[in-house]
Amino acid sequence: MRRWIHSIDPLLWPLFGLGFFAAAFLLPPWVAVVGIAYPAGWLDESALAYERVHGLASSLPGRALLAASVALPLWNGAYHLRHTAMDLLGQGRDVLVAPILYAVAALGSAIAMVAVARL
Amino acid sequence: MRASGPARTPTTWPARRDGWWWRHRRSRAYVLFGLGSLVVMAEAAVLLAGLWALGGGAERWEGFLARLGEPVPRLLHVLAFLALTAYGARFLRLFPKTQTPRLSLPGVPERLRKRPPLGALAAALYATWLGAWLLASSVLSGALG
Repeated sequence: MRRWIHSIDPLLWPLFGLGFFAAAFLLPPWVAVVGIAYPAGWLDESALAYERVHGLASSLPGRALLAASVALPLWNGAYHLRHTAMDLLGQGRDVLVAPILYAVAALGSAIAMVAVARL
Repeated sequence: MRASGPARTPTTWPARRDGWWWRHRRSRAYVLFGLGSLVVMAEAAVLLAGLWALGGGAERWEGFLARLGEPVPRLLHVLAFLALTAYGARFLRLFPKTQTPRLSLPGVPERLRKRPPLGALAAALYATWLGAWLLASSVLSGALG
């Protein structure tokens, strides 16, 4: 298991790096608009109306962007958290922590693919 | 049955439980940066929930928005926004330093082989960051599109 975890590490580096860009560039606007501005009443009611949002999300660029906005931060978070866990809890637990975190990222990515396909 | 001989050299360092990382500013920032990835994963999960609700029809989508409008999620989102901003800012500050100082690829002109000054790279990244935020927020909020 340990050898397998180490062997897939180079495959995860690009996901880790791109995940940083997705987390920095795409997630904060989502949080700001959907999580803060809209509930606070700073936006028009029609801004997040179902027809409008569905129209944006179901376009090809929309689907690709949304899938990336979910999957990449999940892989970034899993990889980063795994290394933080190694720093705080020691390397011995990595055989348990790494598969759990990567399974969460993989599952979330798979669900994201299904979610964008069913839009 | 284990062969006799000297004890095996440990290959992992022992875990410390004395809060070593909190006591020093740089290690504190480093570990908090790592723990920020929890917020990243959490917000990705919220986005996934929204995506799933959107695919489930107008009623599900309105229900999702209504749940986000409750006081506790709103507060958590404010905290998450601050955490994501700090996470992104630290990454963009570090990213230029990770770029190789010189490219030795064949076919690349000499003037393009050297990495731009770190300050210029950082400025370009921050400008792109701000532009991406403005564009994404404008599209989501209805100001554009």
